[in-house]
Amino acid sequence: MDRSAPDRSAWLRSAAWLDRLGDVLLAGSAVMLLLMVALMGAEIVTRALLHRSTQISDEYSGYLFTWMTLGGFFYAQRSDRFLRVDSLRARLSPRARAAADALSSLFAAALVAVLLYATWATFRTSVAFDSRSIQPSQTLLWLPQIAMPAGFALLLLAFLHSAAVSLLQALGRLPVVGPSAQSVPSVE
Amino acid sequence: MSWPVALAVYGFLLAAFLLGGAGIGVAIGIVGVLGITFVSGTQLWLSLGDIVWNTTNTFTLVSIPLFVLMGEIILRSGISTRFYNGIGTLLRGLPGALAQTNIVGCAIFSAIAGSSVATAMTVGTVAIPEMRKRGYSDRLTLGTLTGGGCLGILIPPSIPMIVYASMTQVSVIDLFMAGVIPGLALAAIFMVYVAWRVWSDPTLAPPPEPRASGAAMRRGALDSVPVILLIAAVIGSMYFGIVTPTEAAALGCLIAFVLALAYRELTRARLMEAVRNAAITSGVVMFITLNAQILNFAVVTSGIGEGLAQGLAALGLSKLLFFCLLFLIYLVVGMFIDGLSIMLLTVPLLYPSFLAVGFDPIWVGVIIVVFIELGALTPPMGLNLFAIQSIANDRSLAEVATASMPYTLMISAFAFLLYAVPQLALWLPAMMKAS
Repeated sequence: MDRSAPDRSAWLRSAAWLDRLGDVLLAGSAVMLLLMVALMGAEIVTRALLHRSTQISDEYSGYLFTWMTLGGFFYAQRSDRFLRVDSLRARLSPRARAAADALSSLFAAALVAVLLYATWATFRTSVAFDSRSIQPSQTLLWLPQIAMPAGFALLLLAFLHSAAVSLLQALGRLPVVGPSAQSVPSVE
Repeated sequence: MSWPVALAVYGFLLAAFLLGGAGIGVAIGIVGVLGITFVSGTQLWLSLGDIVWNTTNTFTLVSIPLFVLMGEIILRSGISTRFYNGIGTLLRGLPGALAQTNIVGCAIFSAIAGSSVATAMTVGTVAIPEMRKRGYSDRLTLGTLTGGGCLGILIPPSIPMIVYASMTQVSVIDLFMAGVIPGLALAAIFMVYVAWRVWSDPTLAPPPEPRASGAAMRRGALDSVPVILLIAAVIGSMYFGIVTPTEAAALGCLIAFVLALAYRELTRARLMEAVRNAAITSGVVMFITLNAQILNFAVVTSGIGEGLAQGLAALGLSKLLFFCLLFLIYLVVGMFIDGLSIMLLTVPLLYPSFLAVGFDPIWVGVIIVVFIELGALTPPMGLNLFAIQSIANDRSLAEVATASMPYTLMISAFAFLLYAVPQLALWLPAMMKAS
């Protein structure tokens, strides 16, 4: 057995673990979406029937949207749903495609790292200054804002994992399967 | 760095990242971050946190997942199939009746579903086998599905219009209203074309069937009315000021849910699938959107938008020449990139130029949507072509593209008509404001 070869089952386990995490985050995003519908539905009904406003509908649906969006990024990356121009990439050999994927995942990780840094700073500033929303609810802004660095940290993890897998595939240390070189093949 | 050099560097990097296989959102975002870094080092990186926060917290954009969810519920609850069959009954007797049904069905349905691809696939799955059985030629059928599916992004509610409104701060309601007449006019043009094609070449479709009986017509109306009422409720509630556009999306979800319950075809599993899909779709759209805002910031800080606008003004291009140039740019870019990404990529760059040349911001939103419709029909990356070819998989992509070519030409001609008669888009919002 080649001792320098990566432990495929370890990569497989890590991929399965990330996929499960993606499922959980997507379920969370779906719940946020349903809460948005319920919140705005309640606003419409109370305004139409009771001539009163909940006064939090616009604000809180925005916060829910932030949580939903950032939660959805991780799943979208894991399931290869982010849109890309595939015409040139599709013509490459499997290993060359894996190399291109590794490089693009690294660029993506670099971008997400910058966004993580920036959103962490925004979050930290809100905590430091005890910033509150200007709406009647006076919500502490770090509560919805924590979704941003958390979401980007997870997305960074997902891109780094994809970069590592694609790199190992490009180097021939892991087999390449399917048109997308991002998935880890089964050990069977 | 002068703006022309910055523009060339941005363009080169963007093309390199896109062709290298990077995600569209990633490519746009990296170029944006690099652009900001070229101008002011890492000093402005902290502003990116505010950009992400303001984008993901924009109340206008909240409507995107809600409209997508509304469409998903309709798609998965069987209402779509009933609607298609109902329209088919009502249009029986017209030349090429089922082909006409495809156009009306796709146009209204993609308006609700927010996705021309999902619509083309849903309607196509029902229509292609049925039309083949009845003797319709694929040359006619395939084009009506790809072309009809494009119309939905003009007819409200339209997700590209919501995104455009959030980028340019124009009124979503005005944009929605501005899309109504062009959307309906284009649908009417497609229908007239189908009738003419069938009349000039009777081998394309079976002879017209006799009109449906009174009872069948009533049944057809009953099946198609709920979807039309849903659109009317969404648009009407916005127009009469009962709800905001975002609340209208939530109202649409609730009505769709009630309709689905009434038809008793929406299982819990289908509902969960609809919610999950809506969450994924909006995640994908928002990733590109927030990165486009970063690029937008870079374009502003590097002075490209302003420089480009002034440069074009200095060239002294006539409005028509400028329009032709834009048409070519969108046609070429649309061959390679999906519609929403084109909008997010080009609006930050070109919007100041549009205004400098004297175009109305609402009209600009409509014409860009017309341009990106073309992209869905032009190979090699025409998404509607792929969608229909995946159903009619015994046909090549080239055959689907050939069947779609007349619709590409009609949309192109319509774009020039909109240029010549901007009131086609601007009359309805102006009239509604006045009243």
